[in-house]
Amino acid sequence: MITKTVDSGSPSKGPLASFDRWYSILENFLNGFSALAIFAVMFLGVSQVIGRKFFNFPIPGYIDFIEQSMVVFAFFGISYCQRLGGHVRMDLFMAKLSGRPLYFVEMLATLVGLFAITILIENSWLHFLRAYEFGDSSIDIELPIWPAKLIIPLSFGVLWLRFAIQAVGFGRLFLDPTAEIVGVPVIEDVEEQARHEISDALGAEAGANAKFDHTYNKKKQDKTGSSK
Amino acid sequence: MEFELDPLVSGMIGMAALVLMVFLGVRVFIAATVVGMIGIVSIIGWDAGTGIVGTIPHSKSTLYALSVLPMFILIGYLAFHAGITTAAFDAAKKWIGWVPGGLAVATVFAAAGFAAVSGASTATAAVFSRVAIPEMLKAGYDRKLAAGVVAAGGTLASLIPPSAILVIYAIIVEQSVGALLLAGFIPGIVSALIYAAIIMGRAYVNPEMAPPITEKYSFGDRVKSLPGTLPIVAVIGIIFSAIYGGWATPTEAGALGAFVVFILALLHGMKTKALKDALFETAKLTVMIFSIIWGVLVFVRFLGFSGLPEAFAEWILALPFPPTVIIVLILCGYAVLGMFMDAIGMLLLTLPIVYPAVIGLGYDPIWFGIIVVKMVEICLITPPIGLNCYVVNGVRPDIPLMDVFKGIGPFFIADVVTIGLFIAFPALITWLPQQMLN
Repeated sequence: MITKTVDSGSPSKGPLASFDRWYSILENFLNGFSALAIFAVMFLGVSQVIGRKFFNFPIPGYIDFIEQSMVVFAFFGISYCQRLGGHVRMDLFMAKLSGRPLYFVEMLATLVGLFAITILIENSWLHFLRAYEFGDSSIDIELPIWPAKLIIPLSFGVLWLRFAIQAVGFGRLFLDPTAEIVGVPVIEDVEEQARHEISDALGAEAGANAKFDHTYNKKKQDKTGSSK
Repeated sequence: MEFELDPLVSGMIGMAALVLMVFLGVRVFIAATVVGMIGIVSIIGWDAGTGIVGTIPHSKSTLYALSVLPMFILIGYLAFHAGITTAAFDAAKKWIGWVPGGLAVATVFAAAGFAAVSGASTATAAVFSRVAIPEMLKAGYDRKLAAGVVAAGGTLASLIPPSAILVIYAIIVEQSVGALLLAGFIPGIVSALIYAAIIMGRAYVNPEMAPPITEKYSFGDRVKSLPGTLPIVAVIGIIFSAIYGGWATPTEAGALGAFVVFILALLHGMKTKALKDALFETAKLTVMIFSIIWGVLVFVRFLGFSGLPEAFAEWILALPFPPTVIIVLILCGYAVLGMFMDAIGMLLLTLPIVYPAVIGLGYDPIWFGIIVVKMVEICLITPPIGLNCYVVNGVRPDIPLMDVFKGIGPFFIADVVTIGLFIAFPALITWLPQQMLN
């Protein structure tokens, strides 16, 4: 489900925190690039329809352009999304844990990600190399395919480091559960998810003002370190 | 000599491993990739196995049909800035507010329109908690009814086009995206009509629950309320007519829809910051969906090697029950799963196994897609989680959560009736896409 990062008021110190902040800039930039690609696909689609319907002049290689640009929005934001805990998961079990057991399971889950991405980096790189060496091209206007294939191992590389940051972050919390939360997303319970949805739809102020009824569901109120 | 495992057995082990990892909280795209990768390697060896896995992220994410997803998502995020909510509710109130339970009925239709365009069930609940609940309470409506209709109205998001989840279903089961999008239209309207019927019936029997509104609107007032609904009509109209008439691909129709909403949002005074946020959120949700699609397709490739889906389908077909009983059991399974898991993740994880069995039973692929999506939407309003209900309670803390859940009751029953109707009359779903294909 949805998780989020901690927005602590004062910036944290220490190498992990500063590296996390520095790295976030790169991720934001890549996600922004992906956002621009989506915006461009919108304009391309509109131009294609107008060109074809009214001027009988479809954009040459329209589908090739779209397909090649899809890797941008399919991969550039992958690490950004991981940082913000945006990738789907079921946190039913983890939400029951807290402190050291929670951080241990989180760390294991992160290491599984690190393992998968390590193998994917190598093999998607080989996939790119084959396309580069054979000079594969797209069907219609023969765009080279290798740049698109290169984006994948590169994006996985960025994600790999993000997983590494999170693994270190969870490992650190496992060793000292009372330490400040740095570089890892924390789990949102259903109320925080609801608050999140309210902020998205009605603005941050409405989200902050949302109050929940606790007579129905007596939940523990010790949100460790989350403040938003 | 290496230890040889029967592919079917490794398929079952893989399925169990996937369920375990997902339950423990590993991100779904990672869990599916890891299990799929290890499974493929166990059947065809390390080099060939990892080689295949390395090609999947590229080959499965550059399908043109998938490019419609970011367009639909963008429409949703821009919709918040195009000022459609109050206008839609205002128009619905003026046109149909006079029926028994009129304000609640108006909420259903306005929420259905907004939910369809925004594609976001929970967000619709948030928006209408602010727009519609105050008016209903002012008119003396029962607060359980007012809260229930707002929480339930959002669930109409996934059926009426544009719908990202129907696109995902189409891609995973290799059906026409256009056919699925069209197919959701009538069921979406039918769901809304059944909601409206339930409200009118209850208000008729018990007028105190929803007193009639006293204001009278002239025909001129009504006509004047229409331009505000233009974004909803435009987006649904463009996508529907493009696919039905075949004058644009779903991606092109999505691009046009997004462009229209973008222009309307600019006219409505959207700031650069809001545009940037909408684009960033669109990119984030897009990459999330693409990741889970290719991740699950790694797992699906493994399932293909293992032969598990065929074996499962054979087992289902050999069960001594009529197909209707089996399909109802499958849907109950979805209802339970949906209480704990995000809709997209749940669909992607279960379809590779469940879908061949359902088709083997003789059900229509398009029909099943609509039914399953309707099912997962219902889960957004049922306890123990029922995120929509929490959202309503969050915006309106004066309405206790228990009352929201109680208010949902009749709508939940309405949904069960609707599903029963679709099972009894499959043509409600399949007729429209068949018209297009002819």
